[in-house]
Amino acid sequence: MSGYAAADTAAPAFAAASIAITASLVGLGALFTLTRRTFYAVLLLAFIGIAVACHMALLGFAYLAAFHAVMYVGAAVAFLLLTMAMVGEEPGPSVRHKPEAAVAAAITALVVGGPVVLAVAGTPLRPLPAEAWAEAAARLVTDYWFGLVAVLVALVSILIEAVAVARRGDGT
Amino acid sequence: MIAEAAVVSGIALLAYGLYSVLTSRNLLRMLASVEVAFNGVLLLVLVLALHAYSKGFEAAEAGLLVLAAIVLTAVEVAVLAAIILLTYRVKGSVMVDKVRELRG
Repeated sequence: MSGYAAADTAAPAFAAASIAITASLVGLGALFTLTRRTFYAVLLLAFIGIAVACHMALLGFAYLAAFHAVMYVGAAVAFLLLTMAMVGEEPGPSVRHKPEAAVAAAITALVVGGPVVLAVAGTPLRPLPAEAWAEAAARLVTDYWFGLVAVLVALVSILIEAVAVARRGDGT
Repeated sequence: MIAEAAVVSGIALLAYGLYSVLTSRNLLRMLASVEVAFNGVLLLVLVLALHAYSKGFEAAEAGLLVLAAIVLTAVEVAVLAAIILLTYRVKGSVMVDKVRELRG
Protein backbone atom coordinates (compact mmCIF):
# COMPACT_ATOMS: atom_id res chain seq x y z
CA MET A 1 0.00 0.00 0.00
CA SER A 2 2.99 2.33 0.03
CA GLY A 3 2.02 3.26 -3.54
CA TYR A 4 3.12 6.24 -5.47
CA ALA A 5 4.99 8.08 -2.72
CA ALA A 6 7.58 5.34 -2.80
CA ALA A 7 7.61 5.65 -6.57
CA ASP A 8 8.49 9.33 -6.38
CA THR A 9 11.44 8.75 -4.07
CA ALA A 10 12.74 5.20 -3.78
CA ALA A 11 11.30 3.29 -6.70
CA PRO A 12 11.47 5.13 -10.02
CA ALA A 13 10.32 1.92 -11.68
CA PHE A 14 6.83 2.71 -10.35
CA ALA A 15 6.93 6.13 -11.98
CA ALA A 16 8.06 4.57 -15.26
CA ALA A 17 5.25 2.04 -14.97
CA SER A 18 2.70 4.81 -14.46
CA ILE A 19 3.95 6.60 -17.58
CA ALA A 20 3.77 3.35 -19.55
CA ILE A 21 0.21 2.72 -18.31
CA THR A 22 -0.78 6.29 -19.23
CA ALA A 23 0.68 5.84 -22.73
CA SER A 24 -1.14 2.53 -23.12
CA LEU A 25 -4.40 4.10 -21.92
CA VAL A 26 -4.08 6.95 -24.42
CA GLY A 27 -3.40 4.41 -27.18
CA LEU A 28 -6.25 2.12 -26.13
CA GLY A 29 -8.62 5.09 -25.95
CA ALA A 30 -7.62 6.19 -29.44
CA LEU A 31 -8.17 2.66 -30.75
CA PHE A 32 -11.53 2.58 -28.97
CA THR A 33 -12.74 5.72 -30.71
CA LEU A 34 -11.31 4.77 -34.11
CA THR A 35 -12.36 1.12 -34.43
CA ARG A 36 -15.41 0.57 -36.61
CA ARG A 37 -16.42 -2.76 -35.02
CA THR A 38 -18.44 -2.57 -31.82
CA PHE A 39 -17.08 -5.93 -30.67
CA TYR A 40 -13.52 -4.62 -30.72
CA ALA A 41 -14.63 -1.47 -28.90
CA VAL A 42 -16.12 -3.56 -26.07
CA LEU A 43 -13.00 -5.74 -26.00
CA LEU A 44 -10.81 -2.64 -25.75
CA LEU A 45 -12.98 -1.48 -22.83
CA ALA A 46 -11.82 -4.57 -20.93
CA PHE A 47 -8.17 -3.65 -21.50
CA ILE A 48 -8.89 -0.06 -20.48
CA GLY A 49 -10.46 -1.36 -17.26
CA ILE A 50 -7.37 -3.44 -16.50
CA ALA A 51 -5.06 -0.48 -17.16
CA VAL A 52 -7.17 1.72 -14.87
CA ALA A 53 -6.90 -0.96 -12.18
CA CYS A 54 -3.10 -0.82 -12.55
CA HIS A 55 -3.26 2.95 -12.07
CA MET A 56 -5.35 2.45 -8.92
CA ALA A 57 -2.78 0.01 -7.54
CA LEU A 58 0.05 2.45 -8.21
CA LEU A 59 -1.91 5.23 -6.49
CA GLY A 60 -2.06 3.06 -3.36
CA PHE A 61 -5.63 1.73 -3.68
CA ALA A 62 -4.56 -1.90 -4.05
CA TYR A 63 -7.80 -3.44 -2.76
CA LEU A 64 -9.83 -1.16 -4.98
CA ALA A 65 -7.67 -2.13 -7.96
CA ALA A 66 -8.30 -5.83 -7.36
CA PHE A 67 -12.02 -5.17 -6.94
CA HIS A 68 -12.09 -3.11 -10.12
CA ALA A 69 -10.35 -5.82 -12.13
CA VAL A 70 -12.61 -8.56 -10.82
CA MET A 71 -15.95 -6.76 -10.55
CA TYR A 72 -15.76 -4.28 -13.40
CA VAL A 73 -13.80 -6.17 -16.03
CA GLY A 74 -15.10 -9.54 -14.90
CA ALA A 75 -18.76 -8.62 -14.64
CA ALA A 76 -19.66 -5.36 -16.38
CA VAL A 77 -17.55 -5.88 -19.49
CA ALA A 78 -18.59 -9.54 -19.58
CA PHE A 79 -22.25 -8.37 -19.60
CA LEU A 80 -21.48 -6.15 -22.57
CA LEU A 81 -19.61 -8.88 -24.45
CA LEU A 82 -22.45 -11.36 -23.87
CA THR A 83 -25.00 -8.82 -25.11
CA MET A 84 -22.76 -8.15 -28.10
CA ALA A 85 -22.66 -11.88 -28.83
CA MET A 86 -26.48 -12.09 -28.64
CA VAL A 87 -27.18 -8.98 -30.72
CA GLY A 88 -24.41 -9.46 -33.27
CA GLU A 89 -22.57 -6.93 -35.36
CA GLU A 90 -24.82 -4.54 -37.29
CA PRO A 91 -23.96 -3.85 -40.94
CA GLY A 92 -22.38 -0.48 -41.61
CA PRO A 93 -20.03 1.63 -39.48
CA SER A 94 -21.06 2.05 -35.84
CA VAL A 95 -19.34 5.41 -35.53
CA ARG A 96 -19.63 8.69 -37.42
CA HIS A 97 -16.66 10.96 -36.74
CA LYS A 98 -17.37 14.67 -36.36
CA PRO A 99 -14.76 17.38 -35.67
CA GLU A 100 -17.19 19.42 -33.59
CA ALA A 101 -17.73 16.41 -31.32
CA ALA A 102 -13.97 16.20 -30.73
CA VAL A 103 -13.86 19.88 -29.78
CA ALA A 104 -16.84 19.54 -27.46
CA ALA A 105 -15.39 16.43 -25.78
CA ALA A 106 -11.96 18.04 -25.32
CA ILE A 107 -13.42 21.22 -23.83
CA THR A 108 -15.69 19.28 -21.47
CA ALA A 109 -12.84 17.02 -20.32
CA LEU A 110 -10.59 20.00 -19.69
CA VAL A 111 -13.33 21.84 -17.78
CA VAL A 112 -13.87 18.77 -15.57
CA GLY A 113 -10.21 17.76 -15.22
CA GLY A 114 -8.69 21.24 -15.11
CA PRO A 115 -9.60 21.90 -11.46
CA VAL A 116 -8.07 18.53 -10.53
CA VAL A 117 -4.85 19.47 -12.30
CA LEU A 118 -4.78 22.82 -10.53
CA ALA A 119 -5.45 21.18 -7.17
CA VAL A 120 -2.83 18.47 -7.53
CA ALA A 121 -0.09 20.57 -9.15
CA GLY A 122 2.71 21.34 -6.74
CA THR A 123 1.23 19.39 -3.84
CA PRO A 124 3.22 16.36 -2.65
CA LEU A 125 0.61 13.64 -2.15
CA ARG A 126 0.76 11.20 0.77
CA PRO A 127 -0.37 7.59 0.30
CA LEU A 128 -3.41 6.38 2.19
CA PRO A 129 -2.35 3.96 4.97
CA ALA A 130 -3.91 0.51 5.06
CA GLU A 131 -5.37 1.24 8.52
CA ALA A 132 -7.55 4.02 7.09
CA TRP A 133 -9.10 1.51 4.70
CA ALA A 134 -9.70 -0.98 7.49
CA GLU A 135 -11.36 1.67 9.67
CA ALA A 136 -13.60 2.85 6.84
CA ALA A 137 -14.61 -0.73 6.02
CA ALA A 138 -15.36 -1.37 9.69
CA ARG A 139 -17.55 1.77 9.85
CA LEU A 140 -19.43 0.47 6.82
CA VAL A 141 -20.75 -2.53 8.75
CA THR A 142 -21.10 -0.84 12.15
CA ASP A 143 -22.20 2.78 11.65
CA TYR A 144 -23.70 2.58 8.16
CA TRP A 145 -25.19 -0.92 8.24
CA PHE A 146 -28.72 0.22 7.36
CA GLY A 147 -27.51 2.00 4.24
CA LEU A 148 -25.49 -1.06 3.29
CA VAL A 149 -28.53 -3.34 3.61
CA ALA A 150 -30.70 -0.87 1.67
CA VAL A 151 -28.16 -0.70 -1.15
CA LEU A 152 -27.87 -4.50 -1.30
CA VAL A 153 -31.66 -4.89 -1.48
CA ALA A 154 -31.83 -2.21 -4.18
CA LEU A 155 -29.08 -3.90 -6.19
CA VAL A 156 -30.81 -7.28 -6.05
CA SER A 157 -34.12 -5.65 -7.07
CA ILE A 158 -32.47 -3.92 -10.02
CA LEU A 159 -30.81 -7.13 -11.17
CA ILE A 160 -34.17 -8.96 -11.01
CA GLU A 161 -35.64 -6.09 -13.03
CA ALA A 162 -32.87 -6.49 -15.61
CA VAL A 163 -33.64 -10.20 -15.98
CA ALA A 164 -37.37 -9.42 -16.27
CA VAL A 165 -36.75 -6.80 -18.95
CA ALA A 166 -34.47 -9.10 -20.92
CA ARG A 167 -37.01 -11.94 -20.82
CA ARG A 168 -39.84 -9.78 -22.11
CA GLY A 169 -39.77 -10.30 -25.86
CA ASP A 170 -43.11 -8.98 -27.12
CA GLY A 171 -42.37 -5.33 -26.35
CA THR A 172 -45.55 -4.77 -24.34
CA MET B 1 4.69 11.61 -11.00
CA ILE B 2 2.19 8.79 -10.57
CA ALA B 3 -0.60 11.14 -9.51
CA GLU B 4 0.06 13.39 -12.51
CA ALA B 5 0.04 10.38 -14.83
CA ALA B 6 -3.28 9.28 -13.34
CA VAL B 7 -4.74 12.76 -13.90
CA VAL B 8 -3.60 12.77 -17.54
CA SER B 9 -5.08 9.28 -18.00
CA GLY B 10 -8.35 10.36 -16.38
CA ILE B 11 -8.75 13.45 -18.56
CA ALA B 12 -7.82 11.49 -21.71
CA LEU B 13 -10.31 8.71 -20.94
CA LEU B 14 -13.02 11.28 -20.17
CA ALA B 15 -12.40 13.01 -23.51
CA TYR B 16 -12.33 9.72 -25.46
CA GLY B 17 -15.53 8.55 -23.79
CA LEU B 18 -17.41 11.79 -24.41
CA TYR B 19 -16.27 11.94 -28.04
CA SER B 20 -17.30 8.34 -28.60
CA VAL B 21 -20.73 8.92 -27.03
CA LEU B 22 -21.29 11.84 -29.37
CA THR B 23 -20.22 9.94 -32.50
CA SER B 24 -21.57 6.43 -31.83
CA ARG B 25 -24.52 5.10 -33.79
CA ASN B 26 -24.73 1.79 -31.96
CA LEU B 27 -26.42 1.65 -28.54
CA LEU B 28 -23.95 -0.94 -27.21
CA ARG B 29 -20.99 1.14 -28.33
CA MET B 30 -22.59 4.18 -26.73
CA LEU B 31 -22.86 2.29 -23.43
CA ALA B 32 -19.22 1.19 -23.69
CA SER B 33 -18.24 4.82 -24.33
CA VAL B 34 -20.01 5.93 -21.17
CA GLU B 35 -18.01 3.27 -19.32
CA VAL B 36 -14.73 4.65 -20.71
CA ALA B 37 -15.65 8.12 -19.43
CA PHE B 38 -16.61 6.55 -16.09
CA ASN B 39 -13.15 4.98 -15.78
CA GLY B 40 -11.58 8.38 -16.32
CA VAL B 41 -13.74 10.00 -13.67
CA LEU B 42 -12.84 7.21 -11.21
CA LEU B 43 -9.15 8.02 -11.60
CA LEU B 44 -9.80 11.74 -11.09
CA VAL B 45 -11.84 11.05 -7.93
CA LEU B 46 -9.07 8.87 -6.47
CA VAL B 47 -6.40 11.51 -7.14
CA LEU B 48 -8.63 14.14 -5.53
CA ALA B 49 -9.11 11.84 -2.52
CA LEU B 50 -5.33 11.53 -2.10
CA HIS B 51 -5.03 15.29 -2.45
CA ALA B 52 -7.62 15.77 0.30
CA TYR B 53 -5.81 13.24 2.51
CA SER B 54 -2.52 15.05 1.96
CA LYS B 55 -4.22 18.26 3.15
CA GLY B 56 -5.31 16.54 6.36
CA PHE B 57 -8.87 15.55 5.47
CA GLU B 58 -10.42 12.12 5.92
CA ALA B 59 -10.13 10.33 2.58
CA ALA B 60 -10.82 6.63 3.12
CA GLU B 61 -14.52 7.23 2.44
CA ALA B 62 -13.62 8.32 -1.08
CA GLY B 63 -12.34 4.80 -1.69
CA LEU B 64 -15.66 3.44 -0.43
CA LEU B 65 -17.45 5.87 -2.73
CA VAL B 66 -15.47 4.53 -5.70
CA LEU B 67 -16.18 0.98 -4.52
CA ALA B 68 -19.92 1.72 -4.49
CA ALA B 69 -19.65 3.40 -7.89
CA ILE B 70 -18.03 0.29 -9.39
CA VAL B 71 -20.78 -1.97 -8.01
CA LEU B 72 -23.53 0.39 -9.17
CA THR B 73 -21.95 0.59 -12.62
CA ALA B 74 -21.96 -3.19 -12.93
CA VAL B 75 -25.68 -3.19 -12.11
CA GLU B 76 -26.31 -0.25 -14.44
CA VAL B 77 -24.60 -2.10 -17.28
CA ALA B 78 -26.74 -5.17 -16.56
CA VAL B 79 -29.98 -3.14 -16.73
CA LEU B 80 -28.96 -1.17 -19.82
CA ALA B 81 -27.75 -4.34 -21.57
CA ALA B 82 -31.16 -5.90 -20.85
CA ILE B 83 -32.93 -2.84 -22.30
CA ILE B 84 -30.69 -2.94 -25.39
CA LEU B 85 -31.43 -6.64 -25.80
CA LEU B 86 -35.17 -5.94 -25.56
CA THR B 87 -34.82 -3.10 -28.07
CA TYR B 88 -33.09 -5.49 -30.45
CA ARG B 89 -35.89 -8.02 -30.09
CA VAL B 90 -38.61 -5.42 -30.69
CA LYS B 91 -36.95 -3.22 -33.31
CA GLY B 92 -34.52 -5.71 -34.85
CA SER B 93 -31.63 -3.30 -34.56
CA VAL B 94 -29.53 -1.43 -31.99
CA MET B 95 -28.50 1.39 -34.30
CA VAL B 96 -29.75 4.74 -33.03
CA ASP B 97 -30.96 5.74 -36.51
CA LYS B 98 -33.39 2.82 -36.54
CA VAL B 99 -34.64 2.98 -32.96
CA ARG B 100 -35.47 6.67 -32.74
CA GLU B 101 -39.18 6.02 -32.35
CA LEU B 102 -39.37 4.36 -28.93
CA ARG B 103 -43.06 5.00 -28.28
CA GLY B 104 -45.26 1.93 -28.08
